[in-house]
Amino acid sequence: MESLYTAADRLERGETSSEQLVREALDRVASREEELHAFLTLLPEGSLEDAKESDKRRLGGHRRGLFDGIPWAAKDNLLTEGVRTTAASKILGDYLPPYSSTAVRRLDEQGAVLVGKTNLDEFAMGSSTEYSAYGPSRNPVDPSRVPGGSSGGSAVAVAAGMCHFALGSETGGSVRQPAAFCGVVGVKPSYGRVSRYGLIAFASSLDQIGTLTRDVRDAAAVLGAIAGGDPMDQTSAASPVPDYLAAVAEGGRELSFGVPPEYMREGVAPDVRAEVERVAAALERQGMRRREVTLPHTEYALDAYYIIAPAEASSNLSRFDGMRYGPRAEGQDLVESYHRSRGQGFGPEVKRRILLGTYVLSAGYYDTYYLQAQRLRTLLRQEFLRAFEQVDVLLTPTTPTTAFRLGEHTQDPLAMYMADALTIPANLAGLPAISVPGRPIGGLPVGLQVMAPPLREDLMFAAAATVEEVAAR
Amino acid sequence: MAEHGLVQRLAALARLELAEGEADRLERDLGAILEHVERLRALPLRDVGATYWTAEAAQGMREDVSRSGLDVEDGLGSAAARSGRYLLVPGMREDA
Repeated sequence: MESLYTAADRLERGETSSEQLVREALDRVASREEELHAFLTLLPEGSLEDAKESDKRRLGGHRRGLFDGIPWAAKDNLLTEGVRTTAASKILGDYLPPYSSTAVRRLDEQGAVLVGKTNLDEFAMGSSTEYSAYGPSRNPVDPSRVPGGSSGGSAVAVAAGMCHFALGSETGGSVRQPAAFCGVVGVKPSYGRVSRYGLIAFASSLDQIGTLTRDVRDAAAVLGAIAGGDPMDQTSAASPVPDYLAAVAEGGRELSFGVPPEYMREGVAPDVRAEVERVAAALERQGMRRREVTLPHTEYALDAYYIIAPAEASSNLSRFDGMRYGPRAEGQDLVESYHRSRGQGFGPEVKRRILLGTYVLSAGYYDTYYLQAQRLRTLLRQEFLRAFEQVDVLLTPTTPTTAFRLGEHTQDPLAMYMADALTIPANLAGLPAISVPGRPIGGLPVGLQVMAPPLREDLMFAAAATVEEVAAR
Repeated sequence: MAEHGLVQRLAALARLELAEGEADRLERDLGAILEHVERLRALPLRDVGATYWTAEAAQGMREDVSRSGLDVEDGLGSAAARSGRYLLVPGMREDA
């Protein structure tokens, strides 16, 4: 599958049409969707109509820019006006949102053609897409393995050539981890960089919308298209969006980097560590300066995350009660209807997290768990900011291992949670981070993670462009 | 291991009906997760401030001006039951 840029160039030169691009994408869906299950909703007719409109605009000299006519896919927790949005949960049923999320709307206004809504772990809670109420997605490289999650469907759709790019969402690594498992590029922007208006909330102090693309340049273009302040999201950053494409063009040769030892310890597979070291040595040969940095409290990040995220989820998900949207399970009275609708509508992982969140927020435990976790978050962030006084960016593995097999961790929640151990710290600290494919290990993709200071996606993209260049050699 | 009956109490607080056998499984899972985060509880962090969120340059509040929002038909479009302009829900009082 060609990159977004290659497709846009061919459109510009008149070598293809948007209709042709969409037909090619739908053909790939038709040939592999039954096996991979990337989508929850497909829009074959609507996307072809939109593509024809785009072709008319282009022929009439009114092209809206790079994205006009390009097929893309959205994770099914992003609201799309009039298009079924489920968050992969039975509790939303066939919910039809009355408005679109800001990120979706911005791409729509630039002429991008939505081909469908992608599969995810229910309410984005999971690391394998196995917790979708509509069945798991599978890794296109090896369908006996998971694609990662929770944005697994988006990663599969991009990796299998079913669209040119996709949006996902992150709370603890849900874009970067599936990107690493499927061999594509995944970006989690800084907290605040992209409006979350219209993103179904999981944990509001952590959630961010991210991108899945074929390469780093495409990632810079897509993030540039959706980034920027939004009056509808008070947490979105008002500061100007830098020119990410210029950063990619410049590359990272002038930058310094560190490989924190806490990300290279036992628990991270030796061949994953070896790949990071191979790339780190290649970066040094390119002129990037390597310095020692340390992040001592990293080992507690996972613990803090599994207190903070469920706590916020238990509050956010209280709105799903069978009254305003989704199917209702009738009870004797209102309260019994709540209990039944929620009990029948939520899947096992969502229930686990709601109960855990209820526990850590309950009287007598708030200080012990929730407050303690938020204090740890302060230390983590301070350590990152100190490290960024020494180096421009950090290089680490994205995940401790390559993709695991379906069913391998579904009976052991803690083992599943470990898949996000190296991505969670960036979410807790609000940093931008990207996963770039390294050299495959045993035929399976592996991700190299670059983290940068808050709102410095320009540094992240510059370094990632050089990582991408040396990793491919 | 979480204390016995804990999951049922939490489920009542969270308004979550659990199927038969589900509570036992969740009790085991919660016990394992809480045991794992014990290490964090033991850290001496009393003097460290809490970070509840990390927005660097947030929008701030919008100006307090009236504007139109969702219309009633859009807002009620996915409701399980309605009566005219209102959501219809099961009664919450004994005499309802």
